[in-house]
Amino acid sequence: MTKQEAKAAWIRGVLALLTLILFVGLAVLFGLFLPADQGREAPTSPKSALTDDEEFRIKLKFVMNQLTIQSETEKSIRAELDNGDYSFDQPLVVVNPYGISPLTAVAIFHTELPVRISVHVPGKCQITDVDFTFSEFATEHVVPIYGLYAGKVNPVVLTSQTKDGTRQKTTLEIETESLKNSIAQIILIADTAQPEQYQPGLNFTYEARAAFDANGDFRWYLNGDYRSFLNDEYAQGHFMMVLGSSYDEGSVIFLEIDPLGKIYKAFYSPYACHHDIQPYSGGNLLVTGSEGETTEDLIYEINPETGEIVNKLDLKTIFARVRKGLTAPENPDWLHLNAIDWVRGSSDIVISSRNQSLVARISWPDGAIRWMLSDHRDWPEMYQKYLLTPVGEGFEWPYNQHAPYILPDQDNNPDTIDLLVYDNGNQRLEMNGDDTGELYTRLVHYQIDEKLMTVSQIRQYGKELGDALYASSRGNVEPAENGDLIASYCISSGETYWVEYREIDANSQLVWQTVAFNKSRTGELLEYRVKRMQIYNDGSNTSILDNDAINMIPSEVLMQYEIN
Amino acid sequence: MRLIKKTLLLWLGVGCFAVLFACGGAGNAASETATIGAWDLAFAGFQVKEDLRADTNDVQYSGVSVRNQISESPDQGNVFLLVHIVVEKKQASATVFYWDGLSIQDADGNNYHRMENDSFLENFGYERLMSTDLTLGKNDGYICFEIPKEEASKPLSLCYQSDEGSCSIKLR
Repeated sequence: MTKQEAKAAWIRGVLALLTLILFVGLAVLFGLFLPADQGREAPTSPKSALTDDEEFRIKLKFVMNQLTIQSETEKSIRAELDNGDYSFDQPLVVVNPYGISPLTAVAIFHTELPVRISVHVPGKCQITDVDFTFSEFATEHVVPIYGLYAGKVNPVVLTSQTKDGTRQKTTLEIETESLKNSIAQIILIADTAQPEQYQPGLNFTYEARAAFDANGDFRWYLNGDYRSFLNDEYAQGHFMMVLGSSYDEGSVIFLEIDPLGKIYKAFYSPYACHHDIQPYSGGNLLVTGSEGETTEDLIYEINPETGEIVNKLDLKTIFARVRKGLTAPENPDWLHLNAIDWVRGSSDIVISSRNQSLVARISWPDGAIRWMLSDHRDWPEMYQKYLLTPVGEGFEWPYNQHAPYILPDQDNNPDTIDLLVYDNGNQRLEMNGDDTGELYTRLVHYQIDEKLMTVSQIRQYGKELGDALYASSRGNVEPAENGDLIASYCISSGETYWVEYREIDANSQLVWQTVAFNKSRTGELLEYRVKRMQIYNDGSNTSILDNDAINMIPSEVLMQYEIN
Repeated sequence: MRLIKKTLLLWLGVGCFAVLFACGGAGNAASETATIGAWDLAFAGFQVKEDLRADTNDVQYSGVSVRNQISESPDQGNVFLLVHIVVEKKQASATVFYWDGLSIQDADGNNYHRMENDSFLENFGYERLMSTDLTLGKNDGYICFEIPKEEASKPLSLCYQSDEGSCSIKLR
């Protein structure tokens, strides 16, 4: 070996050794000492710093994924029914079958004879029991069970009844998860002053997407980032959930869903959905939306059978943006449309504009004004003929109101319409030049004589309480079946908010109240609405597998957001 | 010189193979499956976290955005072990997958059960498996254990025991 060859061999050896050390080092570093999954991002990102499009894409993906999960779950339930040996005494119980409704379950079994099933979920006291009897007689059963308590073993009693009246009972022990963090953070302190007067049902809330009972115990909630629009008049008592990015503008997905979390329909709108969805003639839905550079001043009508938007009305073309005493005309949220109610027996609707302190009846979809319930000040001359004239004692205008609700006829007079309004009252003092008074929020029953164009105040609740229940934002009131009023108040002190729910009877006596706040340092909790409803209803059935989800989200929307 | 080049190329190839093999090994940890009665249990990966943090942007009904920071920490001296598993029922059967039967076993033989409430995982973007016993279908997601920090870098196994049988899958 020459000297040169020896040098080359030496260099080769050193290079080989260095290379070996380098690559073995890299292999060890990346392959052995790091945990297998370390450094991998979570499958979905938290919501931080996302654009509206990115956030909507995540929600769209969630919907499509949930539809797949639902389909697979129902195939599994079908396989268990067909191949398993489950009886009334020994059913298969699946908790949270669709993965998004943790306080629900289904019991799956066959019976030899056609029977109908009753469910009894015992509450901590009688008014918190959940009971329901399904109407159909069948031999194959997928029984939805609602109203379970969280984090405990629930004894649930099923009763079967044959057509000849023979009954059999079985008790299931159904264990549920503890409340998820965001719900567990909510503290509810309840008091029922008149248990015999309490309107039966659970209290469904808007922002928490949850329902609690008279004692303040959560009995239902839905996982996922939606807005809930709960209305017992939707098809078969299903709920409407909306998924979007900002909600007050841009794309949204509507989901018709039952308490189990089963999706029945999914459809799309480019016009947002911010405050309200209401049933309209022919089963269509009216939605508060936005289009263009202003926000919350559009109403559109959507056909839930086809997902088609069949009408829309831009309220900028109906009401002039000139009232300087309220929201500045240049404010894009100049109207802040926060509610719609359909005037049954007509094609008209009643709308509520918070930022114009206006409740109005207009024709749909052309927007002809019938009347306007609003302090007359600052309205241009052309609107004067629509403004109602107050009559009678104790009348006060509503200011920055929410939730107009058309009450059943009270006086057998076809010329009158009775309206319940949640009068927040923010600008009451300002509009009346009162520097010393107190702000208060009222629940007001107005009666409007549409022929005489007058309005009188039949009843109010809240002025006498002063600022104790003053809600500067949010809030609603609805009549219960028993005639009571059920209201929510989002009350602020300094920079924090808490929520108070109240049921009052016809004599304005308190039936039930619950105070809600959270476990944080400030206790801040925000809530918009509460609705008292039975969680089971006439649409509840034991044949949920018979209905596949109908997905009406346009393929071009899926392509736009790159969802396969 | 040609020999040097050949040697370099050879070692480059060997090195690339080593890197690919080593990284693939980490990924392959994601595919071990055991069958217990009607159920398949597959291990799909894990993460060790000293804590979990995220910013959230919650849009209120009025359109107002509220930014919040959220975090979740284990007890002092512990870490979160986030295990990604797939539990699938392969045939109709009354048998149930019990979470009480599932544990992480450390190098000293100590067992750790799933945290009683790991619902916080969802706040940080993890698909989480529900904590009630499984009775149906394919269940794919994360569950969380809390283990001593010093054990997190040593060998760990995922163990399952029920009336239908038992299995042990090495996490590493």
